[in-house]
This record gives sequence, C-alpha cells and structure tokens, in this order.
Amino acid sequence: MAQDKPEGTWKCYNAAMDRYEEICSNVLEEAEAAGMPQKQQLRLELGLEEILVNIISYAYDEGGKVWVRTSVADNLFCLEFADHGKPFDPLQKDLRHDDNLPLEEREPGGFGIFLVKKYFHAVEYKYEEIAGAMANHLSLWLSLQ
Amino acid sequence: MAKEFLQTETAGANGWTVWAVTGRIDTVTSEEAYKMGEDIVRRNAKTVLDMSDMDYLSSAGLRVLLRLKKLAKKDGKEFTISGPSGIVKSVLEDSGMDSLFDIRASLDELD
Repeated sequence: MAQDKPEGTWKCYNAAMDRYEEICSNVLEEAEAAGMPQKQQLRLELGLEEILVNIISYAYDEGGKVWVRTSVADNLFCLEFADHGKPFDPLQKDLRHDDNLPLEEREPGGFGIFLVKKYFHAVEYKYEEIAGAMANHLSLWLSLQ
Repeated sequence: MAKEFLQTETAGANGWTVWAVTGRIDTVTSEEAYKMGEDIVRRNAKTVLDMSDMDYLSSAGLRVLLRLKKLAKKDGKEFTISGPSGIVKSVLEDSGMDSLFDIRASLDELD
C-alpha cells in the first residue's frame, strides 16, 4: 500500500477528550482548505472520530500524547495518527458483528473500524519510531472528490 | 466547533411517540442521546427515532441505537427509525444495522 506521503507537519496534543473537538476542528479545516467536498468531509470525520476516540480511550493507562498530521497528494487526503501507547493495530481484526448472532449477543464495538475500512481509499498501520520513541502510526487516505 | 444537536419528543400517528434528533449522534452527543432515548422508550409502547434532520451518525451513534433496541425488546416495546438520508443512511446500511430495524422512509409510514 505504497501511497505517496509528502511530509506534513505533526501537531501534538494531549490524548484527552477535552482536546477532541479541537483536534477534529483542525483536521476538518485542513480538509476544507484542501477542497474536500462536504460529503467526503463527513466520511473523513467518521475515520477521525473512530481512530481518535480509540487512541484517547485506550492507548495510555495514565495519559500521553497523540500526534496528528494531514497532507494531500494525487487527489488523496492523507490523515495520520501517532501515539506512544501500547502497540495496537486497530485494522488487524474485522470486529463487526456476526449477522448470525442474535441481537442480544452482538458486539457493537467493531462497527467503526469496519466503516473506516469501507469508506477510505486505503488504511495502513505501522509500529515505528516517531517523535523519539516507538509509536503506533496509522495512516488513512481518503479521496478528495 | 459548535455542531448542532437538538432532541424533541412529540406524539405521532397511530400511538407512536416521535423522538426527533437534529444534527448528529456521535462521540460527543451519544450519552445525552441515549439518556433521552432511554427515557422515551421506557415510557412509551412505540417509539420512532426521526432521523430526517440528522446529518451525521458514527459508530457511537450505532451503539446508542443497538442499546435502545435491546432495551425495547427486553421490555416488549417497539423501537424503530424513520427518514435517514445521506451518510446517516449509508452508515446504517453499511454496518448492517438496517437489518435490525424496520426503517420507515418517513413518519407518514407509521402504522
């Protein structure tokens, strides 16, 4: 999945819910500036919400940072996340409910990642060094049109 | 980022109670939405969530719908959805959640 990824600038935030709306707002402003139409921005927001809430909720036991970066290449908007929390690849499993299970037994936790995989052009996970330490590095590409 | 989120409860046709949400059910609004939905479902035999003025639904919103559906089923109540469009409709369909609800195109279809 070798997409072009021009170097954008990482923005660093506390991985906490009180920063959530600010991070979303910054990313959506960058998408707007890149010319992404409203309909695609809603899809972008689905991915943003899913990954960001995941990092804020689960990456760290006692708080930490999240890095967010956006860039544009070949008519694709690239949204990247990095954190220094426990190694975790959210793309590893399709956690969507099993249609054969009765309603009461379905596990709703995996809807989000399933939708991200469906709506985004490409997604990629790497565990690599970013900002001076090993990091969960998640990249999501969404068509600008 | 002041995103719109409004909820109302009104009496609909044929004994249905209409819970209308304007804007979005997402991570930020899901708890508030669940609280109102839970209250309405507990008090009424037939509840319909009017989504015609919603423009965004995330997995946090899907979890609200699933929790309310389970609650309604446990109590022998009806809980369904009306009027989703755009990405709200796509999210319901692509997640498979639409199969759990007898989704109405509009409130005119309540019987």
